[in-house]
Amino acid sequence: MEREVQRVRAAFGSGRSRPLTFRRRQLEALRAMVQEREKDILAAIGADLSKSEFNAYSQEVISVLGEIDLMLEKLPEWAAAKPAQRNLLTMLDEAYIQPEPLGVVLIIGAWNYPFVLTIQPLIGAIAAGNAVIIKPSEVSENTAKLLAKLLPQYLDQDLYAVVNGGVEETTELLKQRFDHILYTGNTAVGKIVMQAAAKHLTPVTLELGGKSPCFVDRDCDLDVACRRIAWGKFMNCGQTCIAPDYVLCEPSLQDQIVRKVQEAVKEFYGENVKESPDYERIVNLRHFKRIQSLLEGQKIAFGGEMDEATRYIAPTVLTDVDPDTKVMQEEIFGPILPIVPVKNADEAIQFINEREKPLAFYVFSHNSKLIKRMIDGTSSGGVTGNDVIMHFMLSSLPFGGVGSSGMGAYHGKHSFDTFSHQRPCLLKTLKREGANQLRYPPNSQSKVDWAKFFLLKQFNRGKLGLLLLTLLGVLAAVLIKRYQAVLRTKALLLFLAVHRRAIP
Amino acid sequence: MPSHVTGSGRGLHPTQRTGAPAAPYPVPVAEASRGLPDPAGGSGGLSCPPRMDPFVDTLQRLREAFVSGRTRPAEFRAAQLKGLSRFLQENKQLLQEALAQDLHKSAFEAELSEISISQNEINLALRNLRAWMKDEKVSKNLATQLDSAFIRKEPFGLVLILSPWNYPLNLSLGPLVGALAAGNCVVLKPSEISKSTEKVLAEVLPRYLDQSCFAVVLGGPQETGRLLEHKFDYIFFTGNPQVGKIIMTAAAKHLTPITLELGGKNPCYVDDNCDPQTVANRVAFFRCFNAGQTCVAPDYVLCSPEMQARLVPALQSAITRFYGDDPQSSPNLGRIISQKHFQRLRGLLSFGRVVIGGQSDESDLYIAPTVLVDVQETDPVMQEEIFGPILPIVNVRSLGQAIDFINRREKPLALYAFSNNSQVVKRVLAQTSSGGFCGNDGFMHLTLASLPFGGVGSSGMGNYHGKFSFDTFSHHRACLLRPPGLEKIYAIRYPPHTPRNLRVLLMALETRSCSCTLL
Repeated sequence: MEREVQRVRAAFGSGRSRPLTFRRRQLEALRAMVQEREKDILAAIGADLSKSEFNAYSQEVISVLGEIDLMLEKLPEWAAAKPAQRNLLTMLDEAYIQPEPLGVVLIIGAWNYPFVLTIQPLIGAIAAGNAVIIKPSEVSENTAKLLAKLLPQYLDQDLYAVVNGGVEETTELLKQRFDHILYTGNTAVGKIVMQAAAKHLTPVTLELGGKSPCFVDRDCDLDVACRRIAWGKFMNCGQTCIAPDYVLCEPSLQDQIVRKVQEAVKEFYGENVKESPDYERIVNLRHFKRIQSLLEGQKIAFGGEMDEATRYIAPTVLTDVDPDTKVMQEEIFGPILPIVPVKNADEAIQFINEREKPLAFYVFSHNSKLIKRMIDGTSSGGVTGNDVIMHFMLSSLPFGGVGSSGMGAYHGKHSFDTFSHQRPCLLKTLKREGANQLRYPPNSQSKVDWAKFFLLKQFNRGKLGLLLLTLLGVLAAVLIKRYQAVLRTKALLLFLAVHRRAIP
Repeated sequence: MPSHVTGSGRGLHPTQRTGAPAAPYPVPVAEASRGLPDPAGGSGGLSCPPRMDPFVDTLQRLREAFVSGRTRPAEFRAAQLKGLSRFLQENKQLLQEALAQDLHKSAFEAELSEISISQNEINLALRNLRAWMKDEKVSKNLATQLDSAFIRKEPFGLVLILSPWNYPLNLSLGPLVGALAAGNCVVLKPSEISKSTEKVLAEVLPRYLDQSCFAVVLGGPQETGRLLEHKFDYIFFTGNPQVGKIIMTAAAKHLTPITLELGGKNPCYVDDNCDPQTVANRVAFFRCFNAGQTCVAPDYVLCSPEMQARLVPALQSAITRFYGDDPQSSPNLGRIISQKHFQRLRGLLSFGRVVIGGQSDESDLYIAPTVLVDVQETDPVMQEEIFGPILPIVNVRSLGQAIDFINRREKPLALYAFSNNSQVVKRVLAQTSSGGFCGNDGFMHLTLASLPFGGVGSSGMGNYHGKFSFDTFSHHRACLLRPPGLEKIYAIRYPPHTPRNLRVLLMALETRSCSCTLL
């Protein structure tokens, strides 16, 4: 493990990953990989999660391709130095912020979206000029094996390496030193990753999880709301970090929500959900049994069917759920939707705030003031109003958690920035040393006063220009006034001269 | 103005300072009793048993205040910042005296590096508060054209600021400005080593702020350890890398995001092509500022033996001009903060060869501006961050060798290169990594709040100053608000899936949204 990291580090040390042309070529190679080996990729994801090709493509591959295209388009702009505003002391100098690669980045992927959650961070890390070690989740075995086979075929083998393995190998890997670690997974392991990172003072981005609440207001289009909730909840069989975990609503809405969600499920997956090619399975037996145990003692409004052999769990809705029961204690990560009745929006806000900050918050309402109030009153990684999941799809929005749902963010430019060091640079000359006498000892009160003046004023070229213009204007006005008589005579002479010329 | 800097057993004259190490349980001051925990546990009138956690009540109070939403409105935040401003303006003399007691800091240094720089941060925050607080709109793709997409800046909640002793005012107030502007409740734990400033911050500062949302806690490593067992929503630490690791490990237990402003050995490359006197002025000034106790001070010089021969007399000339023939009697040179650091620095003097200075006075915690040559890479003076007025010169035979030397070591907080040839400066910049970089001068880049200030690698993570402070102490919450209708359009994403749906979906998620608003 140590040798592998050393090798990648040495490759980074060669400086090969820095030039923009090199980064472009790697990203283009990655795109070629995704396009040429699409079938293999979709098959691997399908094998891991019983996912249809369409779903694998629309849920994972689309995002990857979009991200690569965005990086390729924006790379020159994002990698360029950004000039910084100067003050009086530095007005003749060059001041800018230069993004630089960090070095060797470790990306630890997750099993629920095994392709995109490993490759999307990789895209950002490559674009920022780093070397990368990728550790896909061992739970999604097929994708892990495929990545280990494909990536070396398309990318620079010394700069980008795939390391596979379980808990033991990951622990070994975390003992090594990296320049940034991006981990996607659960809270408990997130703490372990951060602790390991602390030993080397490695900055981390942790994409964790939590119970993402979904408040449904009385004043909303219930048909639409329930359809969208069902879509977001049951996609990937509920195994989505930003799935609406549970619903909060007034008691009077419960029955309607149950009915409409049930209708949506039928619309999406047909009468016999088990036969639908668009419905996934639970990733392994351990999670299957875990989710099974959540149903104990619950009032099942519909669903609840299970088949251990195929790890099938039907889309299930629970009503009148007691907040103290198991299903409300941990992130469900399965196709079970509890509905917890609350009196009103305020009680919902209180309920949410009594719990850990979630990765996402959802609210359905026609009343935009209510939406704003609920956003103001809560905290979460991100928010989608009147829909679910969608804030993930817009890469100009930072995707990340807060509190126990994570720290840091990525996607689009946020990825580029996460994997870069923003280095401030001030370039002065050795000339004008005389001016520096002001700062050297021996000191005096006048020096102190000058120091204050220079420090507390900022140099704004725009304002200075305006000031000069004003001064010029004033000067012109003054001059014109003083020399009015002279100017008048001169104007008259000029007129006469022209007039004489014009008349033959 | 009542003097609060009394009772600590130290006079104002530097030679009366004993520099004794801080006691593990500083005596609590009666005046600061309101809201302040009593770390000693037993004395001060509180009857809590020694084992009880002294911080629970304070933290509880602050959390409740945050939940109540008091710190959110812009008016409240502006009022806090104005309070900070008044604190600085009304207690200037008090602060200068405290800084003089702690570090023998001259009025000039105090003004430049502590008071004005803090005032500048406050002014900047007040001027820009509303602009910084505004939701940041983001570009949308075709699928989200009709939505409202923006990034909301929200306070984290309860912030802990741990500040060090070398710039005890600036390094407490700087982060504090950002944390308050961002709408957080703050616990400030100033360094117990800079005792006089600690006292002013503990006793006087809270009076200018809403004490339901702000508290100063006191103590040494043990109390800090206890404090860190509690959960904070953000921790901002300035200090050395070893303690930085401890802070990060403690933060990991609660998954608390952090900013660590650490340190390292800041290299200073001096090219043959330069004016030695100008370079010597600048290097000597920034090395000896605050008696060298600056995280971004040039730590050591890399130059050719020829350059060294020209630089050393120039350095001597600069030092004499700045501090006179007897630097110990100059009011412009600081002192070492404590006995422990004094002894450590004195130990470093026995390596290499002293060509300038080398004197020290234990009773005064004075170390002369010193230059060492013939230094080995393995000497202790080249192993640890010096943090004193000692400047070793290491010889290199070429620019390439200097760059290799720098890259063999940990990434520093700052990097300096001096040359008339801008290509040389740019090459050093391009082939190294560091928190920040300044060509042809010392840590001037600090004075520009438009530049982020922070480290990389073992010199730290995260940054602040100006808007970067506000952003550091804010959670950037992604918000996408969709209009309730238009379900027909979104229906293409629902199962059962068909190839046609996929094609339309692909188009909609295309990030390159057309600039014409035909939708």
